[in-house]
Amino acid sequence: MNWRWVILIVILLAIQATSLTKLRIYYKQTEDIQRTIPLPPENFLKLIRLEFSGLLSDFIFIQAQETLGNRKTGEVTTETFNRVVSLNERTVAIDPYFLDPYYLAQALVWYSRGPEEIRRINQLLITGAEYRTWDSDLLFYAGFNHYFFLKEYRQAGDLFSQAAQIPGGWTGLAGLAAKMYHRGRDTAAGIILLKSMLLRTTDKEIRKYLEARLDQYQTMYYLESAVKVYQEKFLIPPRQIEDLVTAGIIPSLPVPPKGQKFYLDIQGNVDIEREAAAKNKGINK
Amino acid sequence: MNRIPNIYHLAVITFKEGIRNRALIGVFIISLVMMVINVTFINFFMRDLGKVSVDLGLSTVSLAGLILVLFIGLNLISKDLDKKTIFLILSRSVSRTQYLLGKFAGLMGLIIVSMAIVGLVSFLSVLVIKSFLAGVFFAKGFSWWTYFLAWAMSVVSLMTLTAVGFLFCTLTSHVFVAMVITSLVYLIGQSLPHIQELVLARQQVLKVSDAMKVFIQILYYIMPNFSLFDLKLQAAHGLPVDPGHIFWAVLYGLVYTTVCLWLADLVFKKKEFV
Repeated sequence: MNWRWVILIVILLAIQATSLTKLRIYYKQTEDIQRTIPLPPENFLKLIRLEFSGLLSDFIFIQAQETLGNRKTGEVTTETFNRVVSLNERTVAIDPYFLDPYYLAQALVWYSRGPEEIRRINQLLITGAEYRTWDSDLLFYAGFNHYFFLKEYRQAGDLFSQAAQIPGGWTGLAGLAAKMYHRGRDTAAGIILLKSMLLRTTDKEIRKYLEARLDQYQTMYYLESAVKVYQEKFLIPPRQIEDLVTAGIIPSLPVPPKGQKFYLDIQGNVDIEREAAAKNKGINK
Repeated sequence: MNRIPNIYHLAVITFKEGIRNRALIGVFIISLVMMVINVTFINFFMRDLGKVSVDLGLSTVSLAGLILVLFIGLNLISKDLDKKTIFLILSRSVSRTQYLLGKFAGLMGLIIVSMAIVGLVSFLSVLVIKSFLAGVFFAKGFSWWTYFLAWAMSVVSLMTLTAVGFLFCTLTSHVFVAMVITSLVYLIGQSLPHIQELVLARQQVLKVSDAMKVFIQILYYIMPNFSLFDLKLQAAHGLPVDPGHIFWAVLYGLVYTTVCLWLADLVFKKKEFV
């Protein structure tokens, strides 16, 4: 081989490597500016996707991951948060069935700084659930966010209830929904859900689980009604659950599930807890 | 009398000519590279790995098909006009209609064979991923049948595009102009349904005049709607495919192709080769 060619190739490769290094430095320097460049609108992306919706959504999602992964510190700034959510929103605008953007959005919830950011992610998850009708996960995530972060128990109950009705979903979702309704002071909604689930369930094990939950919430509903009667009669809430029997509102306390105990929490709401935990908290004292 | 044999011989010649084209090797190499990329590409994702691999596999098929139609297919018909070899063919008791149909049949044969090769490579890449790498991450409803259907609909889409290309080849005589116009028709045909959706949406996002709305509606019915043939998302997410949609889409493709070829024939018959 002619040596002149070898030298030429080596020189060309060296120039290429140097250019790449220089460009990389330039890219690093302008990284922050690049991240502030507005993203193309969803409608524009829908126009240019042609027949490659899937592929385009894959690439935008990679960009979302890159934005999150390339942050300078462990902290997720508001800018990074908004950028990643916006990229996810664009990804699902092109391919609403794509699971990963929803999954990444849910992971982002832990970095959110306020209810508005959580609501934005929940909106994404609920839109996703409209398309992924077979998938109970997205409704579960949205319900969890309402319960854990926003303390909106009724909304959480509604979402868990929708998730529970998706065939093949986790059985415990119905119980969870009933629990949320109870916390949101709407135990009756939980009872209706459990009854409707029982009507459609044939599996013996699942029926057993649902019947136990139904029994529990029906008892709690009974106790809640008794508390209301007590309040109407004495104009003050009962101090402890046993007061309902002492005052003659109910003949005796219903039998709780094994190892558990009904009690009145600080706000005077009927709840159930394991006996040991209740004792530790000194709730009944 | 010799109508069918003439078309058949022309089709075979066109097919062989296409096979000899080096660009075909390029298309095949692209598909092989994409297969390798497919196996590594899925590592960038968390859960929907099956969807990503199907996306890439079927997109490769479509992209290779587009390159084939626009850069090789249209060249095959224009070459005869440019090199004046068309005189040789037409002087041998081959009618202009037979010439056009023969060329189209040969090109379709070439497209189907090439798409079968690229499709097989893409199928193998998805199969490897499903069997050895990420089987559990495929959609529950995923079926090879839908995958095949998406491939077949790509071929129908390419058939329609080829017919459109033929029409413009006969209209313009210049391969580059025909290529540009066909590409534009493809772009419009892919995005027009979304434009129509935007313009006619109940809650107006864009402020559009009534005249423009009518124009878009007319354009919607004139231009080929290529988005009808796209089943990639259904294949990737294992979504059900309505047989009625397939039937009407194929019928639409066939009718559009026939109309384009008929118009091309009309123009071709009146064309004077100088």
